[in-house]
Amino acid sequence: MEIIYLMIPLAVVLVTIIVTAFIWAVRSGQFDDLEGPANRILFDDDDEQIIKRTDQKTTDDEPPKPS
Amino acid sequence: MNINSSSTDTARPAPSVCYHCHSALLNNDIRSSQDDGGVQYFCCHGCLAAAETIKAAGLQNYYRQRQAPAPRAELPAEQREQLALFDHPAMRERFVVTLDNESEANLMLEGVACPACMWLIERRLSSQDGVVSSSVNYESERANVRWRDDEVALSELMGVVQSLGYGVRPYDVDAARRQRDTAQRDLLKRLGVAGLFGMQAMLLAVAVYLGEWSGIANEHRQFMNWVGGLVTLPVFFYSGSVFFKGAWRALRNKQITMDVPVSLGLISALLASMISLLRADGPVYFDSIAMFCFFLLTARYVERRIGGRAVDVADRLSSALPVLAQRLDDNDHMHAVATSELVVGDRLLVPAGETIPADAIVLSGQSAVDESLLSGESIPRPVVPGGQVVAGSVNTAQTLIIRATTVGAESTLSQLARLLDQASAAKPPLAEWAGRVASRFSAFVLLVAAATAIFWLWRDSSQAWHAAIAVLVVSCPCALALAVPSAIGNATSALARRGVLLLRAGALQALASAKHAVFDKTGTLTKGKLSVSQVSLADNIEQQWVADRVLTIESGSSHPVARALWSWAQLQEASPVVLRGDLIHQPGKGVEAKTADGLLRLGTAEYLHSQGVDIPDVWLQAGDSSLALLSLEQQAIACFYLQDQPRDEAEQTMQAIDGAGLSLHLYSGDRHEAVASLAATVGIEDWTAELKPEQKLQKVQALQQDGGVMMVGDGLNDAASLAGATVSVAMGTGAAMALQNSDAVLTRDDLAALALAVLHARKTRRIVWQNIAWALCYNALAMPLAASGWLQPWMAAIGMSASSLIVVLNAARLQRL
Repeated sequence: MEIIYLMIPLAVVLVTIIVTAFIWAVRSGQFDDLEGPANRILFDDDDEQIIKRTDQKTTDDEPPKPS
Repeated sequence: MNINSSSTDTARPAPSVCYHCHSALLNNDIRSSQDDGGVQYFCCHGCLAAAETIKAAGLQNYYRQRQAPAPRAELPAEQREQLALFDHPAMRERFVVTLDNESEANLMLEGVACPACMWLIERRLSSQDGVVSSSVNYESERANVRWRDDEVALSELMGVVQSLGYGVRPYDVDAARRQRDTAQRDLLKRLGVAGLFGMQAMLLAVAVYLGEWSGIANEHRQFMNWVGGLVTLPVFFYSGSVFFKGAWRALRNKQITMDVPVSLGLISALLASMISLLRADGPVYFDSIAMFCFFLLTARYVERRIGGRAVDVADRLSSALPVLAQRLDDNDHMHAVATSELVVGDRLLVPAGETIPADAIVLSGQSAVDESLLSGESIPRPVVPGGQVVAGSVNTAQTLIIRATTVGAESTLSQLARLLDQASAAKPPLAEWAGRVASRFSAFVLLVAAATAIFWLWRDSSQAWHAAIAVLVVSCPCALALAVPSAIGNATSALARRGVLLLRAGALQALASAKHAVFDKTGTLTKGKLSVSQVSLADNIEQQWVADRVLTIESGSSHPVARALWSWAQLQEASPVVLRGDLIHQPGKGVEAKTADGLLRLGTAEYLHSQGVDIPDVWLQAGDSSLALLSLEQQAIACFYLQDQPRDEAEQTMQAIDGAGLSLHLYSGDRHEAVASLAATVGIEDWTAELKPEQKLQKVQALQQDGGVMMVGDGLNDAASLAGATVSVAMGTGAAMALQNSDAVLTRDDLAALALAVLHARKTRRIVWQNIAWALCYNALAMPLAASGWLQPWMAAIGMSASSLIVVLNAARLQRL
């Protein structure tokens, strides 16, 4: 059971790190809008990448070039 | 253009609503063809422009992703010039923060309907050259933008947002608002600390409690208790200081609030635990302290968020006066100036549809002003040169040039504001149920603790300290402190989903205990706009023929009567006829038009009389309606009766509120006949008409002698009564001042939600009492056990958690409506 003398202080150190991270997150405004980010994930921000892919598709009809 | 023919040239049937804003299409003239061959239809050029801007920016995804239609878009071109004023250094100083060569500002957005709007605005702003970053806060509907001044100006950024069809104005970050934001973040930090360290404390406590059963080495238990104490210290001193400060403030003011017994419980629990720890014997309560702090801070955080949202709502509403006015200089050149900088004697230009910025005398132009928000009068008042206009009223017909007579503190609006301040000062304070219970309860607990100590000192002095502390800790009024905030939090969010936004925490209590319901007429019980209720026609005249001509004559006018007639003609599926020459407008009287059939006049009875038109006497028996007549040459051929129609749900709501046991009253500033007829329609027996704002307030205050008054209104003339009533509810489309001074807002403008709110408030009151009763019962059970000295710490911990949990779960029932 002597292991608890290592594990419990370790847990306390860990939670201190977590609390620090939380306070940093609050300070940097990450909790100011609790509704927006949940919705934001639903919108595609990768339009440019999608266009690139369709470009590739059209070139697929041509004989593949070694890259 | 014929409506039917235009819809046949696409394979798909034309939609009946605008592609952009989903409002009903009046015709299919405005449309844009798509690359895929489809056609989109729009209600107005503003919406078309907004949709094209969105398409040009490659953001069409917005239309696929949105969950609610966009607001109707204004054509932005006219406002560009005015926006330039915001680049003026004096204006910038108020809104813009400059760091190096980057500037930052917050913009208030109007019309944000769903998350897709947020996405759209963010993306469009970020793609603008010179913008460093942009982010939209969906909750407060504010956009934060950073940009480089040498590349783009603030006015351009605002123009960009406007071109998407949203309203925008800079957000003035004053000290009070900044303080509110910091306080909110601060509370969240304390809550997080309590939660995270509290988890550790509980983890260790559970190990110790289990050890009590299965056996634990003394040194292990002691070690765990020490670590538990260590992690509880930040919770106690950092998170708990909120309660200590509150308790100290209350005691200094010789009051006892909930914070006092809470602090007492926390301090005694910590002291007892520390002593046990040092003596290596006796109970420790660290887990209880942490959990207690966490629960209470959660409740407080939720409460603050409700309050914060109320302030956001008030901020978001456009104020009664326009931000900018058009001043004419000596050479008749127009300059946009801030309304706050106007001085007496300024000559101002007010285009049709704009709000009048100052009390003034009309110099030139004939028009009609809509004062419905100020006086409750539903029909615009005609004005001619030399006549007076009041700041806050809306110019409906034609451009006016006016000379400002009073500005600032002396103006009619400011006087209303003063009346309102007096009213809110006289408002009966909302009873603090929990506060009262708490103060009695804590006095009782102290007595019991003292009695316990004395008893044990006499019987067995070694037990005295333990037992007294156990009483204080166990009676920790956790459940009691949670009883009210948890119920109110749940009820508030449930009501918000149904369109009732509570702005003050006490609103529910007051709603539950209201005995009288007072309503305003125009805009509250009625729709606030005129519509044709009845039409009389001369012999041999066909309704369709009349409708075609009315549509032609009244298209393009913004006068409420003209809008009502035009909508009526639209409903008859009228199609325009050809005019010979221009329409001749006689502001406040009517319109003259030459057609193939002859000379048509459409206007008031006086106007037609003055032109020598013969009008049948039976037509003039209008009762409470307004009249509009159509004549062909010297013959009156049609008579329209116009009324401000009651809301569809008004009668039903009155019955529901009456059924809930509230007495109904109707106090209006409008004319006698109009009020009488509405009262009869919706079923209100006690009504008074032609009341001035201060008379209205007096009547409300007189009613208040007899019991709580719920005041429902929308206009500036109601603002004072709203502020003075026990509990006030404003319509969501009402004047900003009315909204700011009310306890609740019907966000969807749906009266039916009102009855729901009253019933739900009563249910909330019931559940709060259940919670309080339960908390007291728990204490009645636990305290004797603690006093008798055989309550184990783990029992106290389980008891306290369970009692709190039951309170929280009971309150969760309020989520259902």
